[in-house]
Parts: sequence; C-alpha cells; structure tokens
Amino acid sequence: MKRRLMGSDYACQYRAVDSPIHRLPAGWKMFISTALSVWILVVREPQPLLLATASCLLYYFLARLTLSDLWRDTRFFLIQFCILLSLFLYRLGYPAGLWPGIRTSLQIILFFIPGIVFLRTTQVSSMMKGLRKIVPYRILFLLFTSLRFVPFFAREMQEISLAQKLRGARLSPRESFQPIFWRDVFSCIILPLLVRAMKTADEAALSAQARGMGSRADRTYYDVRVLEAQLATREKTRTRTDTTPNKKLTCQKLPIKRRCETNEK
Amino acid sequence: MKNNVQFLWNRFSMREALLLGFCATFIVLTKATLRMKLGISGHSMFFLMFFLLLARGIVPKTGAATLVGLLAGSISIALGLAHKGPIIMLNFVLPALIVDCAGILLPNLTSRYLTCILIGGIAAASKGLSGALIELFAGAPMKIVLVKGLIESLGGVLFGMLGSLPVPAIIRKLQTNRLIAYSDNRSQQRTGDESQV
Amino acid sequence: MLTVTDLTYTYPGEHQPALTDISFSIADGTCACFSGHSGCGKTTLLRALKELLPEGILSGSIRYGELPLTREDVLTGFGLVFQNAESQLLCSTVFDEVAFGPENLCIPPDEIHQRIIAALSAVDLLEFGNRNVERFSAGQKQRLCIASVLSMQPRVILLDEPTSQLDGKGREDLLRVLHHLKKKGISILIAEHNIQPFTEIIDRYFLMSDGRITGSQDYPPDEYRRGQQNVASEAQPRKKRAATTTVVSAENLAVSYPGSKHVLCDSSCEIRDGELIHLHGENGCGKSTLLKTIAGAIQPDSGSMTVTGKKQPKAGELLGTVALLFQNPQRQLFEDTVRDEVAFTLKRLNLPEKVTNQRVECALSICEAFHLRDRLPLTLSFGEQHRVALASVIAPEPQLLLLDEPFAGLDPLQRLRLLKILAQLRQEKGTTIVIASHDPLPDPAWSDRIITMQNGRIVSPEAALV
Repeated sequence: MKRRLMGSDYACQYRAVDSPIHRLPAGWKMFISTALSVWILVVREPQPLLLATASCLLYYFLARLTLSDLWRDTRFFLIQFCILLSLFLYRLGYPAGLWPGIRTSLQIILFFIPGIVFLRTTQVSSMMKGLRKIVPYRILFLLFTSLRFVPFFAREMQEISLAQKLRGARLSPRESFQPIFWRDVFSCIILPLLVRAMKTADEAALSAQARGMGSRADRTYYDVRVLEAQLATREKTRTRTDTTPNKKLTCQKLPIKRRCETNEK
Repeated sequence: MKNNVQFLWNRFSMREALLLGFCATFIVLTKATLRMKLGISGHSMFFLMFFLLLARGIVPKTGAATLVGLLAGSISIALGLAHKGPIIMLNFVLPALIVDCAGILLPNLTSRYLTCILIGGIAAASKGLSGALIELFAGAPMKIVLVKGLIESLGGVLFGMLGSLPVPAIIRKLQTNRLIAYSDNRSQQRTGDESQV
Repeated sequence: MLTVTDLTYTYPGEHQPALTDISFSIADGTCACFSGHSGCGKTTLLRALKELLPEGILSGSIRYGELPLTREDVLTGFGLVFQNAESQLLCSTVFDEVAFGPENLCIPPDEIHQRIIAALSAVDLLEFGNRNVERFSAGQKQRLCIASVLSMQPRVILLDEPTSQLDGKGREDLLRVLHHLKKKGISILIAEHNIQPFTEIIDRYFLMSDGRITGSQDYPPDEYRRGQQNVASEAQPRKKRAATTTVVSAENLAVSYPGSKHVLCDSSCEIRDGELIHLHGENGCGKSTLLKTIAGAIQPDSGSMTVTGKKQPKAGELLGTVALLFQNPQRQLFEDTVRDEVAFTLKRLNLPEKVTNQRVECALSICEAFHLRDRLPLTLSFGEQHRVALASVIAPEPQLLLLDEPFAGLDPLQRLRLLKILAQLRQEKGTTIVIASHDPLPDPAWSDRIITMQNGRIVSPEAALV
C-alpha cells in the first residue's frame, strides 16, 4: 500500500488503483476533462479561479493520485511559469504584473491537469475501445500495429547498436554528443533500422492481406469478456467432467473386485 | 494479383501505411531513449523532424508526414510519454502538417539540404503554436506570448534544423540501394515484393 | 483435391520466370513438401497459391475440386504461415491475433469466439489465455501464427520454412500440431529445405530447382541426401593442433538481465587457442548471453573471465581481437560498397590503407565474396549478404570469432559452405571459432569439441568429438 502511494515513475503514467474516476467510462472522462480545461481558461476573477482550481485538484485527488504524482506531472511547467511571470513583471512592472502573471501561469498549468487525469486513470485498452467508435478502423489498425512493433524495434535497435559497437562504431553516450560521430549514429543504426522497417512492413502487409484485411467494407469485433467467460465455463465443465469418472469408478470398484475374487476362486 | 491497392485515404498502400506507422514508432522510441538512457528531455525535435522529413521522402505523398505525426502522438499517449496530457498530439501534428504543406510546394523537398533545414526549422517552431494559443485564451497579452514563444522555441528550432540535416543523405542512400524509387518525376515507390532486401 | 496446372510466373521487371510449368495435385488431408535450395521458387509458389504476388506475368490454373478458385476461395480456403513469425504477428495479444482474420471476414462475434477456442486448442496455446505475444518463444509464436490462420478455417495450410527459427522442442511441438491438422482433413503444403523433422507426416515430396518441379516421390529425395554427402566429403580434412594457450577462461559466471532471473548461472569453461567449438543448447538456455559476455558486451554479475589475456574486458577493449557475428548479420550492413563494408572495422582501428586493402581482399576471398566487392551490400541476396557480414568481422583477423546461430535462414548447402569457410579460416589464420547453435552442426565432424548448455548452465564443457 505504502509503495503504491509513493507515486509513479513517469509523468502521465497510468496508475493502477481503484477510484471513482478510474471507474468512469473513457468518454465521460474525456468530456469532464475538456469541460474543466475550458473552464480554467475562461475565468479571470480570483474567486471563480479559486473555485476552478479547487475543482481541478479535487478531480485530481479523487483519482487517488498523490502529491508526488502531482509534482511529477507539473514540474515540466515550472520553467514556463518562471518565464511567463518574468515577462509579465518586465512588461507591466512590479506589483502590477504580479497578479496577471501568476494567474495566467496558474491557468496554463491547471489547463493540462484534467487531461493528465484522463491519462492517469484510463487504460490503453479502454482508450482504444472508445476510439473504435469515432476513428476509422484502418487508422486504428495502423496504431495497433505500430504499438505492437514498439518492443520489436526497440530490440532491433539494441541488437543493431550492439553489433555495430562491437565492430567499432562510435555509439557510446559520450561519443553520441559529438557531432563528428553523428555519421555513425545515422549510418550504423538508423539506416539498418530503416531497411529492417521496410522489410517488416512488406511482411506485415502480406500477413494482413493474407488474412483478409481490407477485403470487406466493414468488420466485426469479438468481445474479450464474453470469450474469457466462455473459457472459464469450459474450464469448469472440464474440471467437473474430470472428477465425475472418479465417482463412477468408486461405485464400480466393489462389483469388479467381487468378480475378480469370484474368478480367482 | 493486385496487392498494392490503396488502403488508406485513397492514397497509401498497406505497405506504405505500415512503413509510416513504423516511422512513428521510431519517433517515440528515440524520444524514450533520449529521455531514459541519456537523461535528456525536451530535445525531441531532433528526431521528430528527422523522421517526419524522412517519412515524406520515403513515401513522397501528401499526408505522409501528417499520418506519422498523428500516429506518433497517439503512440506517445498510449505509452505514457505524454507529459502534457492528450494535447501533446498537437506537438506532433502541427510540425507534420507544415512538412506536408511544404511538400506540396516543393515536391523534391527532401533531396536538398537547404530546403530540409529551412522546413525543419519552421516546422519545429510551430510546436509552440499550441502553447501560444492556450496562453492567448488564458488572457496573456500578444507581445508576451510572442516573446515567450521565441524564447521557448529557440532550442527546438535549432534541434529541428540539425535533425533535418541528415535526411537528404539517407534518402539518397536508400535510392542508390534501390529500396525506394528516385523522386525525379515519379511519386510511386517500389512495392515490397520488388525490394531487394 | 488441389490441382495446379502449368503455373508460370514472372516478377514485374524480370526476364526470367520465377516459376515455370508448375503442375501437381494434392488430395485432402495429405501433406506435401516442396524442397530445394534457396532461390528455387518455393516461397514464390506458396505466395502464388495465396495470390499474394505482385502483378507480373502469370499463366496456368489453380483449382480446388472441379471449379477454378475465386478470390473468396483463396482468401478463406488457403492459410499461409510465413517464414518469419515475428513480423507476421500484428496484434499485441493472443486473442486479438487469432480473432484478426475472422473479424476481417465479418464473421459474427459468437462464431469468432468458438473459432478462437478451436484454433488455440489445436496448437496447444489455449492455456495462455490473453497474454502479450511479446514474451512468447519462437516456437510459441510459430504456433500462434498457425492458430491465427486456422481461425479462418482453411482447407489448405501453406507453411513457408516453418523450422528456420525453431529448436528441437519447437519442432516437436510443431510436428504434433501438424499431425493433428492432418487428422482433421486439412491439407498441408510445406516449403522447406530441412526435410528431416517432417518425414513422418509428409506423403509426397516435390523437388524444385530454378522454378521448376524436377521430381516427385513418396520418400525423402535421394538427390538431396546425395548432394549433402558430396559437399561434406569435399570439406578439407582438418589437422588437429596441440592447443597451448587459453583464449577464454570463465569461472562461475552469472549474468542476469534487469527484472528477470539469472540467464547464466555458475558457468565455467575454457576455450583453447585454435579450437573449433560447437556451443549447443535449446533456445533460451543462455548461449547468446555467454557469447555476448565473452565479447565484453555484457558485464557478468559475478564470476571471473579472461579473454585473450584481458581480465573482465569491456566491449571496446576487444576490438580487433574478438569478433561476434550476430544472428541475421545482414542487419548490420549499411555501406555503399561491399569493400567499404568489410573495411569498416579496419578503418576504426586506424590501420594503414595498404594493410586495410590487403585484409579486405583476404577476407572477401576466404568468404567467397571477392567478386561482390564493388556491389551494393543491400542489393545482394540473403546468402551473399551473410558472407559479406562474415567477411566484415573476420577482416581484422581476430584471434577469437564467435558466431551466434549463423545457420538461420541458410539452406543445407549454404550451411556446409559456411563451415568450410570457417575451417579454412582456422587453417589459414589460426582463428579460434565458437558456433552457438540449437541444432547439431550440418557436418558433425567439423568441431573439435561440443560445449552443451542447459537452463543457463554449462553442463558438459569437456565433451570431445573425433
């Protein structure tokens, strides 16, 4: 429990906890996030802004996200905050520029928070399921396939990089910073990776075509929950079927034994 | 035996579309690598502009870069690399749109260093557009928005231009090895089955 | 019955046909094998049956039963399993992958569920549920590819070199699945040059050469076996040397990757100068990890290791003395000419130009690739690229050459040729050579010693051959 509440490794990373926000459908979360973000942008007076800020933070913490998560999600905006505030003070002077600078910077940070909550509380699979209703399948297919090949190309990049390093290519982190060695990065890694990508695209396209991708105007979708329920039922039936013969054997044991005894006699 | 039918937007075959998808994969992988291995964040314009221009060069059709941008943004969100939330999509799509628009005006965009660097810089600068719009809506004066945009986009423009530099050489190498067609007057590329690799 | 009559096909832009007058017929529920060396047209034939070839010049007919095949018949009646399972899998999870085909065909969801269960049961993957395919072994991926094709309920399954990535266990599992499919009345066509694992289920053999069927019989082809013997007997007799120095000395090595258990445990071995070693073990036993550790690419968690006199070396320290050829080495090619490719490491070693040129020519000659020196590496055939990649790692004349699964994708003749090249390398340069492979070597007499690995451990480092 303590470990879970310590926070996540990266900003906007999905947090696998249970909360009222997690349980909301993806579409509803998208709507609430958009509405909150727009509200944040349009307020100008202190009290409405305070209310909007409180709503935003309530939304954030209702999702069982922690202060550590909040820091991780918003620290990128600190530089922007400082630059914006400095410009306001430079242009409007102190203290005239203080309130508008703080207000605008705060609004910009808060603008992003509802969207961050959406990412933190929505699994990729739910997002994709929701997207299915609005995005054409062919684009989703490209997205799914590109996602599927992320670990594949990550491994390829690693293997190619290792093979080239062992051949003498200058690819260490220190060498990568020196422009004189950038040729090795592009020639030794990027080019072979592109060649590999072309070959993989050929093969993946053939695989998809061979299985009818694009052969029909429409398509159907299976339901993983129904399938898992069917498998669970099948497993239960199989287990019951496995145990029943034992009972039969137990019933039949006595007669067989008697026959054997009779035969032996 | 037609297997090069137009698969997407009446323009891209399935092979081309998948290849563009893999360019999007590379954008995200390099972004993640820079962030994780080297501890650098924010210099993503280098590889973003490289792969957007490269995609335009490998599949020299209008919409290629935009498709890559859309997919790269979606993959970033799906993999939890979107530190600004879903709006990070604009950071990928806006530069991609600029590359595609430039490609309409300059069909041989990716074969010349000067055009690549120029478009790389302009497209990289457009990344700040989404932030500028949000600041304007939040009530920041135009002058402040412009100055802030200039300060923030300077690094991105520089890296964008640097990332665009290797594109013509890579494209030429792919053409020499007959992996993609020369883009003199032809806009079609070799189908996968004809490639040598 | 599947009947093909006078099928001839020429790729667009080519002058020579890739297939010429191919005619055969296959009854339901039988298994046929198309065998021949690389480039004979096996893959092209399978793709022709599945109508996946580019628009070239095609003539002849393909029928199933009395009627010619429609597009729909080809789509649903034939299932093609490609050579490379990794790039055939398009979805992240098992269920998604198996459902992909039926979803494309607009099969109703209830029926898709039944088909998924049936297909996964047929390949013994039902217990894996909805796992991510990324963690599957090569054999499991291969079976998942078969399931993804089975869910479309084909009458004929086409397998393109299904064993190229599989170890012994993977092949056994595959064979069991194929037996099951035959019993269900599904016809199986296999394009394969490694016939041996399938002899018990193949009913008919078709020999191919240069795009033609040159023979057809019910038993494994003699010509094939005779050809193997001829090449094996042509191999140069090797002189055994009395090894004096130790090139690699490893004691109690342990290696683990982040987030996983030990890949290597308490592994100890010694490799002597000039030895030819076969490092043998199933997929996942730690062979690649051991080779990478020896090459300095991975630092062991514990244990000690000395390679060519250097203790616990790092990758950069062994440049020029130890070379590692990875699986699918053509991935590393990128230069403008073969000559530049082979000279890459030599230039990084800052050798004089004269020495570089000399070594490049020597390496290309040994690898039988000298005639390719001015060609573009990326335009070469698979076998040629393989030899160029080999030349590029032997050009610096390393003391130790490590090869990780070098036979993947090579036909038997190419494999024997590779062994011949390596034996010659040892003779001429005295290079110590270690081949890691999950299969027995094509020429069992090639190696001086076998080191066997199992579950991350070296179980028999001292076994000797001949």
